[in-house]
Amino acid sequence: MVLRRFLKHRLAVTSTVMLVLLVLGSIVGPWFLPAYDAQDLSNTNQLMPTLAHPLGTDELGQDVLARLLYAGRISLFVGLSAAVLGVLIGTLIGALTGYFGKWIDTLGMRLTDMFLCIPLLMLLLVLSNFTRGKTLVPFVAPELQQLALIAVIIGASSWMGVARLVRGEFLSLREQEFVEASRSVGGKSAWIITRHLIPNAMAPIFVAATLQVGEAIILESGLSFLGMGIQPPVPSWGNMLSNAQQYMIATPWLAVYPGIMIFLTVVSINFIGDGLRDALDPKLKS
Amino acid sequence: MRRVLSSLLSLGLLAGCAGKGGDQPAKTGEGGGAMARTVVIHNQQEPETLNGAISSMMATVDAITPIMSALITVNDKMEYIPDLAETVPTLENKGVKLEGKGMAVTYKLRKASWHDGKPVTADDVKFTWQVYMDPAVKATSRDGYDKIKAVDTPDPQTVVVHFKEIYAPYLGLFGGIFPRHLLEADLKKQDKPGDSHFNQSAWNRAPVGSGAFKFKEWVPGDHITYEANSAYYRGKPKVETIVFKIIPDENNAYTQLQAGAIDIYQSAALTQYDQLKQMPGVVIHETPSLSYEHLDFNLANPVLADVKVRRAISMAINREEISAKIYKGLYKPAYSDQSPLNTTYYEPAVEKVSGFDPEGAGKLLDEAGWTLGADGFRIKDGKPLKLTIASTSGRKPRELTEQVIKSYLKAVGINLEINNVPGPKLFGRPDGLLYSGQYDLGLYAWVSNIDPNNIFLWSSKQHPPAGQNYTRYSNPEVDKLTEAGNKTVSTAERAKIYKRIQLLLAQDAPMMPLLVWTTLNVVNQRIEGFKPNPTSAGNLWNCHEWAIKQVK
Amino acid sequence: MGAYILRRLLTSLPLLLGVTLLLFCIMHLMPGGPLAAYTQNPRVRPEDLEKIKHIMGLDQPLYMQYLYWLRSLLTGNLGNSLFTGQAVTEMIASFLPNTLVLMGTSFVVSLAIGVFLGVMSAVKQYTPFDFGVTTFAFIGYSLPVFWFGVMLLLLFAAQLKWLPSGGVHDLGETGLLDLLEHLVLPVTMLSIVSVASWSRYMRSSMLEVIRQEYVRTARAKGLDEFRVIGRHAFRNALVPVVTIIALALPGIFGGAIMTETIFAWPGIGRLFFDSLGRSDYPVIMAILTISAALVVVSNILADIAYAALDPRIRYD
Repeated sequence: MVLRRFLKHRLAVTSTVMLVLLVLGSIVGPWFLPAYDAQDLSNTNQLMPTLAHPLGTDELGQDVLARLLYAGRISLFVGLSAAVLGVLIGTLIGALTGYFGKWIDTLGMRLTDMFLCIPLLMLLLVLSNFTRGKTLVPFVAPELQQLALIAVIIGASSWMGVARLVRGEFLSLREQEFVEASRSVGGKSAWIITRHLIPNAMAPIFVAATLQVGEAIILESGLSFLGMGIQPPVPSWGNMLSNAQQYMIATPWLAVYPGIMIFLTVVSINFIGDGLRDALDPKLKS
Repeated sequence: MRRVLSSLLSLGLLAGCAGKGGDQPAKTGEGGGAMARTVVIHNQQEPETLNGAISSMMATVDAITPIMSALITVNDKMEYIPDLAETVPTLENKGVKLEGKGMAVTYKLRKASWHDGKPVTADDVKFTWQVYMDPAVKATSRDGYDKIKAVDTPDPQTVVVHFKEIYAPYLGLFGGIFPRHLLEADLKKQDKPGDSHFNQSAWNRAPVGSGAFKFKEWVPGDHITYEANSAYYRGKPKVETIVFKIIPDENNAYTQLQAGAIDIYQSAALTQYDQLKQMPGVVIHETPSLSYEHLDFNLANPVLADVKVRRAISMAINREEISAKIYKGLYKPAYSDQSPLNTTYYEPAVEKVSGFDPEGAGKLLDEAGWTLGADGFRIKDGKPLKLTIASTSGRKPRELTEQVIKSYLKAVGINLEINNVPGPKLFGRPDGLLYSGQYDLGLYAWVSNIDPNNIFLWSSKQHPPAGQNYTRYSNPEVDKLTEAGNKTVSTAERAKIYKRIQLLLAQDAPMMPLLVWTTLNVVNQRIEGFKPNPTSAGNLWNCHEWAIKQVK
Repeated sequence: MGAYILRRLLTSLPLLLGVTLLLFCIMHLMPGGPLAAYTQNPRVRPEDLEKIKHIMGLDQPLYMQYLYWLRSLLTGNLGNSLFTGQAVTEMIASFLPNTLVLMGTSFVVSLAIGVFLGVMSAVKQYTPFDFGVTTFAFIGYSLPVFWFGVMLLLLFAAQLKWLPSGGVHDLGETGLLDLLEHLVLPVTMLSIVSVASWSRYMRSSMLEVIRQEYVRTARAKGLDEFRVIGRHAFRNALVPVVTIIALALPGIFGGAIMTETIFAWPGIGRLFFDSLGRSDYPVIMAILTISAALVVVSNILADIAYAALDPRIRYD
């Protein structure tokens, strides 16, 4: 039923295909392309696109397309998982505070305020100092530790907006008739929250999640600037962007490729979100 | 594209912004007016203060140069020249006399006055020494001033500085003379015990000096303005106003240069080099800098304690190729810790000691007992030859250099891992990687000086925690030579000492000099007399000689 | 409501106190510290370092440093910068007006455009207008901000020379027109992201509301479309937008480091970044404390706004 409604949403389906292609391209692409890191220094000029290098090469003669696809592995992983984590934490805190109010609201919202008061840059500097080379994320293979850590850090520092959004919605929703009705027939809080309130607060959550994917991808590059993120020569869309920043006058188009990848990711996630919301929307039972 | 938009402009579609002109490249100074006699010089950073005694920022040095006078300064050819002093005192001209274990240096002062009209006297020079030696002053360095026993002022135009011991770099002292009549009260007043009001003095943000220009205005975060000092002892400067403009972003500096909003773009980004070359109306000055990239070896690591391994690494790395591929050929290969510009002290023979020779590197490693394994990496006693390289994160050219070095070392069988950290984590004390010795290879820059003193880098007494000998190098002969160098006044004698040190360093290879930086200063062609100066005197050292060509 | 606001303000004080302590700790945990510039200089001797440490007050135990700072906060004087020697209040006073002008303008512009685009594209859902706005919003959002800024700079300042490339005023100018010319590019750069994201929030919550019963009822009652949208839907759709705006409000004080850097705009963002770079503790603490107070205040304002927009909302 839900699936059928989702499949009717053309844009959502197109976007799903697009996202799958992006993920597949990132996983499979680098197998068929020249290595993403510098193997041969004989030809290190920044080249315009050719047949062998469809997007040209960068300053070390590395194939830009190969780097772009390889970078997708890291950026998609970090972007998606950090956004999911951030939205989960945010929704949980926002739902609890908005629904129960009283001291839970006070506690949760003061915690949110506190996190909002600490500049991300400072927090990251301190964290980067403490977490270097340590195994901190359980159940994750050592080679993925760094990545998982980055995702956790970004997720754990970007939930406050979602929490405030969800709480704001809940404050308004919990007073509405259908909630009152559900409560009066003895509905349990957990039931009311998950079945009535969250589905009705989905709209801003989806927007926030979409925008956060893009944000997390860019934040990751900020981390590598602090010596904490992905280290060279491993590429990510974020660090390709920040590298491009140093060549703005000479080769401004270098920033366009990773920019397009981030754009495609964010847009497809948005429409998937749209489709999902329509498919799940309790008000649209046709 | 530009034409189309210009015609749109003339249609009045965007009339609101039309004031800035269409096709004509705007030039400051066009059409006369105040801007025609103003030079706008860019700096990436804002100085923290205009008091040179309590700041070591290069932006501070630049910003105070027009205002302050030194006894002796350094010209663009790295020669000492007199500023407030009439001559450069040396042994030869009897300006320096040995007395007992120490020495006495005599300076004759020119007739000069402070910007408030009071004369500059020998007593101000003495005051300057007192400033540096006052324990309540936040002086960045008392190095050298603490070797002074007394300063005599037999008459207002004569200063005799008595040193406790021979102090060879004496000409580097007294870089900015402070006015006693304006600062003495602040110096004596303490904001809290041990903290002189000199550190917070209002003078520090609106200094009264004796230089070619007077301080006029400081708009925080934006610019500092100076106006010509008509009473300057070398005559009134030709330029009427200098504006020191703070532009943190290099793309913006590029744009402002192109738009004619700045005249001098200091230390331009290398990545803009090709575009700057094509920019009309500007002149690019390519000047070798005193900074150089180098590779530190941590001799406390048993693998790197073997000189053969260090030499092999040096020989495996191709400086020319790094220069060409990463630095557009602008940074030139470096072979010594002394600058090749410093012709008095530089030893050219070091260039032949360990050039690029990957085969020779392989042989040295064989000799050292590191044999090639099946995977292409070397092994000794079952241990693989694996090292890490540390540098500051977020600096693109260094990251690229590391990747290139990694592939050079791979070619001779050394497995190199890259481990970059933020600046403070690399350089910090006590937990920085260099200081605490938690590194194998370190890639960063050092700044050499017009004075060749390098005892703090190479003496075995300077191993951390005592000093900054991060390579933990020790060689008794170098220890002796670095000490002797500081105790020798004669330039010819000193040159012999430092040339010998350079040869020893090349053979022992505790550090591999990689590339000498090149500074790009890009100047609007209407400015005449700009002579970039690589030393700490900075590019404004001769701003009193600058002039502006009138553009018709 | 009055009692609620009072209670919120009162409970904010201990929160802020806790936040300053937390910030103080985080600041001291950052690698580097104010002495880093000196320790890297081989000419600074250990005994000189001790003197500098004493002058900067860093020889005191940490809790004493915090208490001294707290005392200076209570007396309204925020201490002196460790590096410029200036009073911190004076430094903030000289950078703040520039930031307020830049951020305030951009805030108003993005709010007006973002809300308008969001409402219109919700009302005209799935029309070419909506697709246009959506595409623009996502391009705006995925656009690397610095890239966009530098492109604006290269095109309008370097190539066309229509607009100045940086600073608040041309040298020697002080006029309003000159200021406006200098504002165009940085405001455009700053607004693109917030217009993009605010229009998305506005659109989605507007859509949500339009579907609800009472809007349908209002429509069915024959109220004209403009009144339905303006009166009923718009008000209720504002709740999430108010949240987002409240989250952005403290940014007006903090400035935007990247924009201020690219356009050489002397604002608080750059002051903060420079101070962070050299660990100028009193300046960092002052800026962060004021921002923290703004975070708290703007969230209180948001809560008040919720109740005003939707009378059913009550706080207990």
